[in-house]
Amino acid sequence: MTERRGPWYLLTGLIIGLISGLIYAWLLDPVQFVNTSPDSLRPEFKADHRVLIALAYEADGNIVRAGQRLALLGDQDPLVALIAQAEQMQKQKGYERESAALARLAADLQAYQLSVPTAVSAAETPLEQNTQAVVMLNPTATLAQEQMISTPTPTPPQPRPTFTLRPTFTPRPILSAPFILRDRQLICDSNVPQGLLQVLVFDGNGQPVSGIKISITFEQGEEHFYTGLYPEISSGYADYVMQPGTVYSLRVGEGGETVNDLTPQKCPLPTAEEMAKTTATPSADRWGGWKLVFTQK
Amino acid sequence: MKRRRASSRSKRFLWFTIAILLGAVLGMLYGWLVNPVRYVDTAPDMLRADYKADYVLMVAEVYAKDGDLAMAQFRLARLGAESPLRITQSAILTAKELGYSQQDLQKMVQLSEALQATLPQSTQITP
Repeated sequence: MTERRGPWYLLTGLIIGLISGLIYAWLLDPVQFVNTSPDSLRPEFKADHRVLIALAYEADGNIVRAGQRLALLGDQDPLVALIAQAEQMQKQKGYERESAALARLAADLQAYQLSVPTAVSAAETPLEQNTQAVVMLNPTATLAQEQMISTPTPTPPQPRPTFTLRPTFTPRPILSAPFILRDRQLICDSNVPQGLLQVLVFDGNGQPVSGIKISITFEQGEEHFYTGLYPEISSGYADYVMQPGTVYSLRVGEGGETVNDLTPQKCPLPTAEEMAKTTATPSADRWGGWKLVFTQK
Repeated sequence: MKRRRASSRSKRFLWFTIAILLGAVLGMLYGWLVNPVRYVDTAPDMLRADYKADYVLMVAEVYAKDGDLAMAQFRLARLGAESPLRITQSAILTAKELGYSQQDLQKMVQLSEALQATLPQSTQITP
């Protein structure tokens, strides 16, 4: 009796080999990436990197460089990521400096993007000579994985952050000049949350100022918040929701004028004319907020 | 008859071995080139040298402003197991190669000097 076997043993061998090869390539000796770019960092390291970029911007005032560094992190919208992190850090104690720096960078970056539309996305814009760092620091310039394997010391286009563009569109306030209250209005707009305290801060030239610390005190304690977290409204804007029945005192910056007796006020009932205009349901116990405008002396 | 069967068996064994090897090669090609392990959650110590140099420059800029050496050391420690001084010195070399401005280099050197100053001085032997 002759033994007749088909070619299945070849397929079995191939499968055994394939599995062994994958185990070796994925588990025993996987590809080692040692030359990574910031966009591959773990989220918490990205957050640290963002803080460092904001603090470095605070030190050198170079918005172009800060923008390029942020672009390296590969966030879908660097501005949104900055604002989200600033808001998150603002809620944590001991991170006042970091959240202020993030807020200031967010505001300045947005102002820069508005003032120089061609530089909105540095990564996509064709570059001039003096901005070649954008090319090098662009995450898309990262080596392909194949190259990373074969060439552990690649020589990609190199970063040369040598240019020193100094933006002048966001004049910094003189630290010694205090902020004083210029205007105080009761806001009973039904489109605005009840008891909302809106603060607008301008410098001596009437320009909104971001990253200014606002201290608010009340019977139970003290809280701080910063201008610049809502650049879509104004880089000098900040707000806070007051609780009815609580009296607050507010100060803008260090040594600025203190505004006392801030508390939500009951709004008067709308007139028939106003009711006809608005679609909101009138309510007798609607709490109005305040809008405070500060300028530098 | 027996010899023929033995020859056929060794042939089959040879082809089986070749199939395994071929499969292993294909598997490794797939695992290394087509679909390699992806590192998406990396740490700063895995950054490329030029990104590390820029990181050190940022630390140096912040240090130049706030003078907080402990915080600078803490941030530099993220770049690897080497000492912060060593990391800064390597970054200065990279920065020089990349043509960083004198102003930036100066800041990095200042940081390096400050780190150097924290090292214990070598004890002088008195006769």
